[in-house]
Amino acid sequence: MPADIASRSNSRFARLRIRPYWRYWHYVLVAVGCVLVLTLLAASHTHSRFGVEAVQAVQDSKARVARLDQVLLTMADAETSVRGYLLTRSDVYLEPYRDSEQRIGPLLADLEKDFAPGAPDRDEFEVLKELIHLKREHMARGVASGRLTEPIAPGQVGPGKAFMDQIRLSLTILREHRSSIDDRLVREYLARLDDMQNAVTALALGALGLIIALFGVQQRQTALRARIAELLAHENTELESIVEQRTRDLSNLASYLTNAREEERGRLARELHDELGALLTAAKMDAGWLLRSLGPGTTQDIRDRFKRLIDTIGSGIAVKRRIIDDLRPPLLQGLGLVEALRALADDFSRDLEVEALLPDPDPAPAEDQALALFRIAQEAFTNIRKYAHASHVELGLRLEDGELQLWIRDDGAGFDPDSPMLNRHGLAGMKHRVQMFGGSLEVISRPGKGCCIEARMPLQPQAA
Amino acid sequence: MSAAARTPLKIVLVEDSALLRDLLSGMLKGIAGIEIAAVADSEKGAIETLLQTRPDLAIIDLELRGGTGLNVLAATHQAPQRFGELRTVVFSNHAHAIVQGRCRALGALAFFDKSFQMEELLEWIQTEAERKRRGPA
Repeated sequence: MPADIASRSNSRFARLRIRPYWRYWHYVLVAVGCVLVLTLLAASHTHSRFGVEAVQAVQDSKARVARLDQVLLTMADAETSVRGYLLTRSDVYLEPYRDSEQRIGPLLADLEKDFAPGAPDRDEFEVLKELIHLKREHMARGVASGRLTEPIAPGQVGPGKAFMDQIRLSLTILREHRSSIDDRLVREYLARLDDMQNAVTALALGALGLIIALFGVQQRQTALRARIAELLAHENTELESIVEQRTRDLSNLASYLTNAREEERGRLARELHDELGALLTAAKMDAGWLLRSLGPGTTQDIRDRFKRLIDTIGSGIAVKRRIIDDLRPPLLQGLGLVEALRALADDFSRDLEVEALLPDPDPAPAEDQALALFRIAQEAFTNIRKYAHASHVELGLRLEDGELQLWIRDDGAGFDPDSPMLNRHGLAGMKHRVQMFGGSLEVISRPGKGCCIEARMPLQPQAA
Repeated sequence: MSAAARTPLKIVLVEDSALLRDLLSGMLKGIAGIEIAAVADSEKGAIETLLQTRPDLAIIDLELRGGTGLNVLAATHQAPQRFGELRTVVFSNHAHAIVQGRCRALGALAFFDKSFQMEELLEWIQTEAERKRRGPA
């Protein structure tokens, strides 16, 4: 690739070069996202646990208040029952009293847990316990004696009622206190729930933001990849067209050189034949005439010199002929390709065995096509003579479905057809001659296995 | 001697080199009973000249200014009646056996190597001229 193309494509891709830290950017995003989602999971877990705890706290609070109400109800039941008994003296009325006596014990035991020592309302609870104790004793005495124990002065309340009022008061205090504490607790729980809710919302928003950011990164990379692919495709097309153009140029140049070489050879051959050939022939004829015209008095010496002159000119003519034949196929035009090939094989058969498999009639290709095929055969024979050390050569020509096939097969030394050294042996020239006629050249050879060169091209018939 | 017996052998020389044409004409003129009727230096010109002059003999070089002597031979061989009693010999530098074979196949009576068989050609023509002088056998 030429330097200008290389630098051009480099500068184009420079804009796309990714900065190193950018490469790790989306990994960081994914890691942060994972942390966010895990935190979100933990937070929502805590959130729901707080919820459960808040519900539990509310339930506990309700149960405690209910227990206090239960105490009041039980004591009220007991008082009513005792009062009924004292009025009627019927044992039936004592039933609720006995029942409440049984229930109050466990109730107080439960309350003992609610107001454990050290709890803020422990003192009030102690008071309540004492009041209940006194009230129960008072009721027990009433039941045992069957009458109210102390006479009550008019306008005054009896101790039973006083105890009951105090119990009510104490219970109310405890209840309200308890309620306010529980309310505070519930509010705290709700506040914590609220905080938690906010944290979860923030985390979820963060995760959402990350997802959007990742999507953005992804989109950017996809766009980047598409742009790179587009640039590469563009670059490829450009390079391909440049290569095509260069190939065309080279092919044209090779065609031009081949044709120019043929023309030059033809011109040289013509000049050698027309000018030098005629001169030599004329000189030889004149010399012959002179020899014949020598008078009888001429010495043998002069006659010998004349004969030698004629022989020398003859040798010159033979050299000229060989040069011309080499420059230009002898009478390819007049003899036709088949006869010219036969003459070639014939010349060659003085050195080794040549088998010519030539068609009859001559397929009569156009002049330049015949010349190309003849040159290929000539080149192949030259190579065989120089390098192959063959003992048998087959020269073939055949016309099949409008395609001319020429092959030259020898049983010589062979070679590696992939070796770059082969172009020196004229294979590139052969290939080009074939390509000029839209054909193909195949060279099959292996070291020690001989060689077969096969040229195929569509027949171009002679113009009528 | 009859009038027919004195008729010279009419020859057309087909040769693209002016120098050789002159030289050959000069040598042929040395032979008795010969008339150089015309000369030609191209394939087309040769065929036209042969049709016009109707010679007894054509001495044809294979390499011509335009075309080849082989095509001239082919033309005379294909339609002999158009050329009369024409006889042909080839005088050329292309002495390859295959070329000679082709020439004979196209009706050439003899083939002479331009560079080495000048004498033979002259002798052959002399024999022809004598044969013509004696009249048909």
